[in-house]
Amino acid sequence: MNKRAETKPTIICISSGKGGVGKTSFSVNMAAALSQRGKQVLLIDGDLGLANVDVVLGINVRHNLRETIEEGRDPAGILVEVAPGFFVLPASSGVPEMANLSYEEQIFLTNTLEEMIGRFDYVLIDTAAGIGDSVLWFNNWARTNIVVLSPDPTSMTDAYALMKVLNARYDRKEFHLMVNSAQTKKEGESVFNNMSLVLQNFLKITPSQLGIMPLDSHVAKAIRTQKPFFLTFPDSKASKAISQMASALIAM
Amino acid sequence: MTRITAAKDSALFFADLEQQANRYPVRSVKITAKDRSLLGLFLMHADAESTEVEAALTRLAGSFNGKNGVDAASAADAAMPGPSQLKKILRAELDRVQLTRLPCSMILLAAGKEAAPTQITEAIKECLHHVDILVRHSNHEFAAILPGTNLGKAILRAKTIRNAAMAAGIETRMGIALCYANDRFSPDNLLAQAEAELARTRQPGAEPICHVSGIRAEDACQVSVEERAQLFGFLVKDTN
Repeated sequence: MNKRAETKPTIICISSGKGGVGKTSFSVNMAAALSQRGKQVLLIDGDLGLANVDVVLGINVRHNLRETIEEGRDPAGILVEVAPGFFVLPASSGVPEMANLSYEEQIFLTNTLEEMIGRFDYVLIDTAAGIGDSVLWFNNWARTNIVVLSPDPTSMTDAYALMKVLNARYDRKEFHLMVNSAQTKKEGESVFNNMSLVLQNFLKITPSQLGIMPLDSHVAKAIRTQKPFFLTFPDSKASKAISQMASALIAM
Repeated sequence: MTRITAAKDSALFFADLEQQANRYPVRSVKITAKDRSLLGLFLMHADAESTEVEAALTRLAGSFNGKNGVDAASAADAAMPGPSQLKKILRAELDRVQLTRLPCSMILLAAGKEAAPTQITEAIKECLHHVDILVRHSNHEFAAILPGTNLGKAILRAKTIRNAAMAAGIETRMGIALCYANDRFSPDNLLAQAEAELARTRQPGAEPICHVSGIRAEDACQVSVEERAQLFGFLVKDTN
């Protein structure tokens, strides 16, 4: 698993522990930003049982990863190109079995995905909330781990718990933190600095700051219109933050 | 949910297995019929000595030819790896734990001496997944190696196995061992752990299924009070 992740494409897993902190919004807009820079990007909806990347993007999907796992459908055939160079691999919603894949199914899915991702520069995985098997497995498969958190005690606790598990069980030491919904830059910096301090004190880990996403009303508007804010409101504060973070990712 | 690797879809299953085999220290040999149709895949540990491989193939062929009147259960039993292979198999599985970073559990099962080994394997085979490996440890002891299985799932599997054996009139006791990637266990470590747990089941008043403590591996990740205090400390300061 890890051997494949060392080579092209760059596989980036986006998790948060807690739900509702903006993983999917971040993933969708980051994919749009990277593809706008000429990169071939695949966004995998890693919330296999309660997928909503397709909802955020306003696309109607007829086929999804469930068919790959249950019927052996070629995942290349279920890809949806939502913008030039921006592809989505949709998952199913309301299928509890998909949220708890067996070991054999996980191995099968890994092998299948590895066969099809070679044509992309970046593979982003928008995982489910929580620290379930699929979240940990996607994080282990990826080379780069982005953790999204907000200035909310529950979000901070869950993000920390996720990193603690990934460190203890999977020996992960490099995390890129994205602080979402920060009222001010100072607040975002405080959240990052404090999390960084706790990670250093208890886990001996030094995270890097991917960026701070300011509270921006355009984000909610874009979600309601089912379009990425990066494409709909390119001059918004949130879009500028995404643009900076895309540059940082490309420079890694 | 149905799986793509269902028995009827054997060609795809074997192709998948063969692909997986390339990533592990095993050799895979396709077994084909006279008309060149695929019958199956024979997997061997890369370090297996040729004499052992030949002996295993002979036993397998003998079982399928129906020599000595063997039935399906004894054929499966004859094809089952024996005690001499247990450590080699464990070594390969523990290597896989390092590669996948997923845990591996092992259930060491002791059955009542009144049951024939074939009866035992017949009773429990339905409880095993197709990635699980059943190895004969001694005449009435079996090791079920469960790749990718954490302690909670291994305990559930042990209970299922015990119920299936009981339904067949076989009394069982089980010791469960567990290895996470960070444990870096050797086969001897894991086997010793399982044997110690199996020994605990023999103590007066002990449960028929004993397992290693989950605290070491699973609760070690729990966020402590001290960690929480530091996580939120700055919020309190800001409010003040």
